[in-house]
Amino acid sequence: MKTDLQFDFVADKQNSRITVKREFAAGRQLVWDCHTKRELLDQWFAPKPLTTRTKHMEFKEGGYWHYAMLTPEGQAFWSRLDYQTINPIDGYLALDGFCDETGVVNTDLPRARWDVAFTDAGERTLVTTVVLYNSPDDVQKAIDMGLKDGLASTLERLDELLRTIDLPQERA
Amino acid sequence: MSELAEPFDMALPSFMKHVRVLEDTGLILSSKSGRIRTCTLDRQNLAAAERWFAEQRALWASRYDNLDNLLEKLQGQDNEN
Repeated sequence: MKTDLQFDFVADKQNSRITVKREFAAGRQLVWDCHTKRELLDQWFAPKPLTTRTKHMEFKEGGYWHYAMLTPEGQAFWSRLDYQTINPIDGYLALDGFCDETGVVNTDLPRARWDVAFTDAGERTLVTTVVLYNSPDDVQKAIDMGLKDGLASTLERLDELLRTIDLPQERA
Repeated sequence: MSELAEPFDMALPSFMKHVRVLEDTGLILSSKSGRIRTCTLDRQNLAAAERWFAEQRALWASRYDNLDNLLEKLQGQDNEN
């Protein structure tokens, strides 16, 4: 990350939410496009070393994004994001969920609501994402699930990696 | 419970409410024996929650680093056109 770009991450288990704020060195329209177009989402959404592959995308209210995050070994983690409300280029509300390759949502696992807002910050754009679960119990389910699936161990390695690459001189 | 509440500047009933929230989240456990309620910290659960949140943070941080790079690339293309 460019060191002067704001990044706030607040996990609030009691209120069942995670709030992520991040500044980007680009105008709001471009940042919005990157969040809402499949060919652009495929280029950034999965954390390294994973990659993103979109199977279906219809960015409209009632539409959904069905995608996989792929490990270098080719293991796929399928998810979908169901768009509920869209206000270009201010924000959107969506419901996330784990699913299979055909897009059928796993109803045993909790779904969280995503409230994503885009605001101007001078020449930059601030993106605020609130991931809201229905209850602390649902957060606990997500935690329990996260310990079981393979994504957790991938991300754990990533966390280690980030501690080393966050240094500004490595970025240059 | 009253022993636990002692260092905090709040009435016992209020303190109990906070404890109940922590219990609901699974971070602490409590058991009652007669008039004594004992609280224990569920270290395993606490560690799991902390780890999961750290992983979520790492996920968003990495995802957004990718987006920085993409935005830079897209703006570079614009300037060339």
